[in-house]
Amino acid sequence: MSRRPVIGAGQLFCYLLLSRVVLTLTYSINFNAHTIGPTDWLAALLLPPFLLALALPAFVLRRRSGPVSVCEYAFSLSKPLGRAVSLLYGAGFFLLTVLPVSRFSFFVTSTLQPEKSPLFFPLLLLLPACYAVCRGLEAIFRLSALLSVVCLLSLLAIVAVLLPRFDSLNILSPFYEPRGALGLSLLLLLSNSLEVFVVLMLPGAVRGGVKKAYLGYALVAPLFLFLIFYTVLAVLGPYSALQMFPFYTAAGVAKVGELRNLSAVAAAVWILGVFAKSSLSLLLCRRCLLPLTPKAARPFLLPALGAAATACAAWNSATMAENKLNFSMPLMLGVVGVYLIALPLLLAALGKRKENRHRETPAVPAR
Amino acid sequence: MNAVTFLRQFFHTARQQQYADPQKPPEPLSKNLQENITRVKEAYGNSDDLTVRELTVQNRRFACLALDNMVSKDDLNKMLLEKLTAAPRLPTDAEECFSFIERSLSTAPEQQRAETVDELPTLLASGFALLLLDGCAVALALGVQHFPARGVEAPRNEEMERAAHEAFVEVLRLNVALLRRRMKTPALRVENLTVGGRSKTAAAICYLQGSASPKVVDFVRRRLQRIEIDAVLESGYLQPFLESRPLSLFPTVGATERPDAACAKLCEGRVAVLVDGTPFCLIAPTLFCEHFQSMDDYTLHPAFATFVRLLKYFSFFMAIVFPGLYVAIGENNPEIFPTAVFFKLVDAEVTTPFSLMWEALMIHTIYEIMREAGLRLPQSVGHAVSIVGALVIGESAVSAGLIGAPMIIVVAVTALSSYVIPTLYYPVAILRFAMILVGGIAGLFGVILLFSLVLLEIASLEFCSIPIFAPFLPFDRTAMRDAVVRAGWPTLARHTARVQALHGAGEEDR
Amino acid sequence: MKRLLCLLVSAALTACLTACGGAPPLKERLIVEGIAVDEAAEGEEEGFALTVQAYAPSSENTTHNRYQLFRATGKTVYEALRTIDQNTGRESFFADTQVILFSAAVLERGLWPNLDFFMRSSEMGNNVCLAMTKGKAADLLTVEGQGDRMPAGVLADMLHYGKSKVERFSGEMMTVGARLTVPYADLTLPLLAVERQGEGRRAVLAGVTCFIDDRPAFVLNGQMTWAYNWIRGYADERAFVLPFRGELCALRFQRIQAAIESAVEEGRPRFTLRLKAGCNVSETAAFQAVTLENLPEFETALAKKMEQTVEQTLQTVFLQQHCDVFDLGRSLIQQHPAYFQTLSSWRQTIPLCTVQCEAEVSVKRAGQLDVNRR
Repeated sequence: MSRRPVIGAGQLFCYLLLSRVVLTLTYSINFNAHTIGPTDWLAALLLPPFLLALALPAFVLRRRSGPVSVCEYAFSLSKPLGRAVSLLYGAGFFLLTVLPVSRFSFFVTSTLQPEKSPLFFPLLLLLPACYAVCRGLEAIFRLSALLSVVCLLSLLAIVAVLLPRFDSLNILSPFYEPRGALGLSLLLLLSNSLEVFVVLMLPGAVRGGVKKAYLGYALVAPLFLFLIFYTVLAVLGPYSALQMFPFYTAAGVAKVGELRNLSAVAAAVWILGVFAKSSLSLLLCRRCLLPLTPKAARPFLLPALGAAATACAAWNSATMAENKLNFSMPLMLGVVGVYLIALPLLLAALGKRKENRHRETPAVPAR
Repeated sequence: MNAVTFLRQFFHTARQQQYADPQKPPEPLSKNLQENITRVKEAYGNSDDLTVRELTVQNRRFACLALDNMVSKDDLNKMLLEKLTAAPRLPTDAEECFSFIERSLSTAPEQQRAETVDELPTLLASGFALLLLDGCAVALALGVQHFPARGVEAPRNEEMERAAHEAFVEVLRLNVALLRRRMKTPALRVENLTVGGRSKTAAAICYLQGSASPKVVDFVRRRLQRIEIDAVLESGYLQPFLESRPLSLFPTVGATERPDAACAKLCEGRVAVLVDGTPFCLIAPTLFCEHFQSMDDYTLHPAFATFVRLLKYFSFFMAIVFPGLYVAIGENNPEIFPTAVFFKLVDAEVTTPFSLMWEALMIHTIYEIMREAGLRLPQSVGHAVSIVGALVIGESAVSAGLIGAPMIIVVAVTALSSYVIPTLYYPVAILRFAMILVGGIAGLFGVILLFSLVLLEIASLEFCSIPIFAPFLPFDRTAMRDAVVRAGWPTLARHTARVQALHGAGEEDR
Repeated sequence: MKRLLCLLVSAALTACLTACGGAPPLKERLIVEGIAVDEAAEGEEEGFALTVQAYAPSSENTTHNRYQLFRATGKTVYEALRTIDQNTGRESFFADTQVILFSAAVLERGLWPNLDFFMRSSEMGNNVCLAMTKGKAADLLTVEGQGDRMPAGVLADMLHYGKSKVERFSGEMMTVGARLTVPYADLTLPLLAVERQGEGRRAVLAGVTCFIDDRPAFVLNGQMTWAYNWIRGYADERAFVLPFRGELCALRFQRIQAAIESAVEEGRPRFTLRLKAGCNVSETAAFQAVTLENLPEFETALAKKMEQTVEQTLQTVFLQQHCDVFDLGRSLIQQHPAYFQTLSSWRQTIPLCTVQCEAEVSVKRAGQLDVNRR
């Protein structure tokens, strides 16, 4: 028997936290053109109000639209608008599917297994993601809740093992960095905080309130980001600037008993996070594009999206080193600006205008 | 409620399945005795085990039909035939005579009327004796069952240290009695039904009124009523029809041969399905965490019970993941091993001609063949299997350099781990092979992803909107007191556990 | 749709099984344990002479001759390693590499060019031990092993013995890399030598080599090594001998706490090293000069000796040689970042610095005198 999926606020919080933490855990200068510095951990501590501000347009829209997704609301305003919004957000979720997968593939093919083809890991990740989409939203969120606990505990374990290697002389004051460094760090963190995308699509499906979950995420996630940046700097110091994947390198020097390093744990956390993110993004992408797909073609939508995402992720991972525009900060800030701020506010304004028109137009008496 | 009404409800077969053309109306009995006898004989194709005893008492013709070895002849004699032949005066009217015999003469504790020809074979096969009366279009079925059946013995598959040593048997009525003996509350409901178009197997849905969710009971009832199958010879035949996803590796409907376990599950709001002819009772729904619970857990000290459960979870993880992990790390990420282990691994594998993945697949296949052979072989020959296994596979394969010694250890640990949770043996066995394949091809990442998929699959399973992975996912703090840890009885007794009240089940407000 | 998905999955699995490549299995690789980098000999092509101690798994390879030495030359380290791979027909496996040795001659060219390949290698761990050798680096790989342990493993054990010995000498690749990237810290590497012991040969720690930029500058002698250890906060396991009232008293440091305080006075950095040491006077010998009554005097004398040793070492190494292996620059940048940013070059600022040491010692156990001690 089918029913509207119900996700707990706790599950949503766990997913948002996992999504954001994994992105920072897998920080690379290749992706961000920025080496980790003292302003990064300070920016992480200052992040909460900015995360809350980032979600304001989404909550303004929700107040106007009620517990429906952004695409459903756009359709309720007008069909052409609904189609345009669905297409835009579908493309946005497609980007969110390709982004973590291609980064992971780049990591593995450049660091761990250079002999593997760039197609291999996108395939390895997106096939299970397609299966996860078939299983549905609830299953993905339930699994994400478990994965988030596992990943965050692993992260804390790595940090705990690295504590003896913390060198206080590696921690420099962030207040003497060049002017604008703190602002740049904040912008970088914000450009990677794309969790509001999920919030826009799930308002009606969360039992216990989206606001509570997002508030929890906005307060707790920055603490983990701080922990990651601080650990990298404290352990590696200036060596982090030479490393493509600093946290992975730091985990590589964590020795526990006979285990020579915990880099496998860091890589495992990465792939689990990517799996959870790509599954949900693919599901939401499909959800956005489903109304635009002819009925006969709907059974093929998921395989088509999966295949397209695999191809794009493989291409992106193979060209990541050369392609400077690849998910750079200006591009991601643009995405944030359009999808998370401009579009929700525009829809809210259009909704208000429609409401006002209904109020002004006198009711025509029935004959 | 008096005894007669109770017995009537107990044997009421109002929900009989009609396997024959449902459009064909049931054929009523004739008033002619000979015609009725002929019809029954024709239905049985003149089978030799159908006994027909015709007798004439006070100028009225009677016929007593029964299947050989299905009835107690002594009881039939004492409760009916002797009384019939010694009856002082029988009413002359056939209908009145029938009523007189039914109400005053027969002393059988169970009896019922049958008015159609189609009911007769079912009653005969259920061990009833039929009394037909010339001039009356009704048959009297007397419950004088006495067919060969196994007595109540100790469970063979679910042995416990301290819990009761009683298991279900093949006789449905006895199994119901075993439940009644433990659950003396009248809230225990038993609904009889017939499944199997040809076998007309008796089944019973049991639940506790007030504990079980009406939605779940109704779901089970409807699913069973809709089954179209020739013969139901074991409860396992019905299991896929109750499953929400029959093709999933992990079951949502479990089975138990222990009456005490069945009663415990009934108290938690589950529904039990007993099937005649099989000692295994189906329990719906069965949560994933129940595979790691046993009756002994509730008799042992909580600390030890918790330790045993943790061991089971660890064993489950090892049974699925260990071989795949070994192959993945050995082939793709050997730097994870400490140096000493690393060199031992290299030394062991240097002489073997196969890669770790093929070694693992071969040795596990051989192990499964041995296990299956051990199950099917007669006991006297069973020792040969262990000798072949130990010497040939364990010793010779390693000496010949076909398999590395570490791989044998991996197989041994995996095999032992998989037997800790016997109810999950088959899914674990299949997943183990999948893990080995994935570990060999995709390495550590493949193993991690496949394990995540396994968890996803379990997390997505539901039975009547009850999540099977509860109380882990969705997390239910209260219910966790009996999932991984086993809280003390004072704590367990404080809250009544109901499976439909778990988080995510949709009925948690009840 | 489900059938299509199944078809896609089967196709993907088939593709994975057939082609997607992969590293050769471990038994077909050359497991490198130790690498020695020397200068190419005269007559050979200019560049590097690489000696690799490795285990080539094969059915004939028994325990006592488990490892083999492979030699090759090349213009770069990478070229030499590739030559070894070609000669052996096996791809090198670096994930288990324990130690990388450089001869003094090859380090004269600079550490960066030597280290470049190893730092880029995805297999090589970041905690591989690096060391400099007296004489040819390849000789160190021929010292005696211990049972199953190859010489490279023995060297690694030696460098790791005790409390983070390698880290103290900043001999891990990660630490070396970190110090090479910053202009305000210099690195040290342990100096290893071969010593004959009867008929056998064993490796010994011959000192600590200090680098200026990425070239070796000088080696710390005995007394300087003590000071170096104290400043880094490490209690050396060796016995320290203190002349006291005409007697040579042996003691062992139990714990050293070191803190560097920096201050800027009139535009010149001033460093104060505060040491707090706990020690045990020898438990076996009773020294005539040391009594319960003059124990405080003993502590004062030891503290003074420590201060002198540290100040002399800093004078020689830091102020005269302009070599900052004591993290003084790192302390300054942390405590006075604004001032540090005004400097054009830290090394040119070093001569302006002043250093002093303040030590505090407490004797934990006084050996034979311990009976009635505080």
